[in-house]
Amino acid sequence: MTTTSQPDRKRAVRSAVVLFLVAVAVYGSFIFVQYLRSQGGA
Amino acid sequence: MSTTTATHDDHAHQPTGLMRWLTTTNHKDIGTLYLVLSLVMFFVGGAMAMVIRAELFQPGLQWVDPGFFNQMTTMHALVMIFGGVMPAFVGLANWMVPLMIGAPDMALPRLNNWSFWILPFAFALLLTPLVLGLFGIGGGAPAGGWTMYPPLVLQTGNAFPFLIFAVHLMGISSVLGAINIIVTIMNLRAPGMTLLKMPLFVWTWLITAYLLILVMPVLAGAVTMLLTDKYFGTSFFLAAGGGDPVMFQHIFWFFGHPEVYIMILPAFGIVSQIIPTFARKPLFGYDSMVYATASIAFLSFIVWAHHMFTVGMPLAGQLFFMLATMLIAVPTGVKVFNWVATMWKGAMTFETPMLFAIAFVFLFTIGGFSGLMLAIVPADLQYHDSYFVVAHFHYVLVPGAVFGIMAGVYYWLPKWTGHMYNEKLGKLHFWLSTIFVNVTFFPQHFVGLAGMPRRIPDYATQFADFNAISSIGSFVFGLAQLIFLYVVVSCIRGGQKATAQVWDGAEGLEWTVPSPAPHHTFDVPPVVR
Repeated sequence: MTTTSQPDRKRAVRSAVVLFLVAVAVYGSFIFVQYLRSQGGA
Repeated sequence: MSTTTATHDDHAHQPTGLMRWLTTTNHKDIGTLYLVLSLVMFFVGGAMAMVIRAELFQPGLQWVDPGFFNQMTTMHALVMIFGGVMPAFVGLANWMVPLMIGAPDMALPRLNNWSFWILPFAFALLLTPLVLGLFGIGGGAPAGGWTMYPPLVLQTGNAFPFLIFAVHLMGISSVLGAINIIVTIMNLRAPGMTLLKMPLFVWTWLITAYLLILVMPVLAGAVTMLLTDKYFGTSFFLAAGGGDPVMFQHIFWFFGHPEVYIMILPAFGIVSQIIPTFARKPLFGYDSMVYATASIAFLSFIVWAHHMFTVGMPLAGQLFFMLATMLIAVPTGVKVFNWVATMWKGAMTFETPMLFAIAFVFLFTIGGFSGLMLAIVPADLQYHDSYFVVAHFHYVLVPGAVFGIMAGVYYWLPKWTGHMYNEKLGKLHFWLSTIFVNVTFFPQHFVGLAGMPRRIPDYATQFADFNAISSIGSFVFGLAQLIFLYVVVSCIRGGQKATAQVWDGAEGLEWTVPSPAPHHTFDVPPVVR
């Protein structure tokens, strides 16, 4: 068994969720900006 | 670095056979899976390269029709980049990062399993149209180039959604893998291992992982828009509907240039581990290596349009992207200087990993120099889409990234298997690879400068001699990789027992655990002083 302490795990999961949201935000924002461009904005 | 370690091999019950590999959450198992997938993909992509070089052996059409040739160039790139190089580095990271920082495993082991197992499905999707095409079903694989430029790529037949979904899956796998690596390095370092005590391989991977998180979603966004342009009536990149095809190129290369560094920074890390070991000296300028890596990563985001000089842009844009690109030579030069300075007056020995590392320094630098030539706008207008570009990026990626991977595999193989590999065969593999990688790619500079365009199955007769030499070089280079396969397999099966330290100049936590590394390591964190 590998062991990591509970606070370690919580911190790791929290960081992972933040990083995942960053990735999703980058993905979404690129498409959104292109959408605005295609509508004649941005 | 002096360390105290505690290690034990805890044989907690676990599935065996296929279920072991499907359900494993162990970083060493998952690292092995990545490396095996990568090896398979290198041979698949290599076979495609052999088709390309066989067709180009002499002018005229010999073996394949032009459509299939285009499928080969497209798939060779996609398979080698996303299936060969990237999974190899992730495999090395899986194996070595926890061992190097004294962590018991990756921070999120189940996510790690998922990150890997997405990939075989991605490549099954990517390769399905090609395989079906070989049996006469469908129109074959995508053939519009790995860059997927619209409007050409939108003419792809039924292979198009396969390509788009495969790229999405690869992207998801890469992002999840990168997240895991970052949280592992930031949260699970052994007590006392401050950021500036981390091995260079860990540093380069930390920075690479941030690059991955920032650019893979950009690629995913671009291909999503391609998908909606083709099937859902949007016109993001279709001029007829008011869209802008050039914008795709900007978005693609905003991903694509950092991607180049994603494929080379971990190799920098590997070489930075190996050279000090075999020079028996500490790495010269450790701090400057870290800052140089971070600088390269930053600069990689502001140079993308140097791939697009011929598309046309304002003079200010040309100047900015040209100068920013040239600026990358500064931190890269710092690195090359530091590697040479580490070797300077060292007690050097030349085992296979060191040979590959030294070849990396020389040959990657050639690729770097031709990159500088391509950065010069008026020169690039001549070189663009010629074989000079092909020679340039193959110098960066083959004796660069791939030699980095091979150096790492030879370096760490005894730690993984518990056996020393066959040094004589390793050296034979090295010399054949190094000689024939140059025979393959160096003449491509000449035909490129003389005007031979890339991505064509036929060419003017004045290019015949250099192409024949290049093809012969590639065949021998390809065959030499079978030696690598034999060396790896025979090392797994047996051989002289490896000690824990393996190499007498090796330092770091990974060399304090027995060889082969037990299934579980660092259950009790080591203390780094």
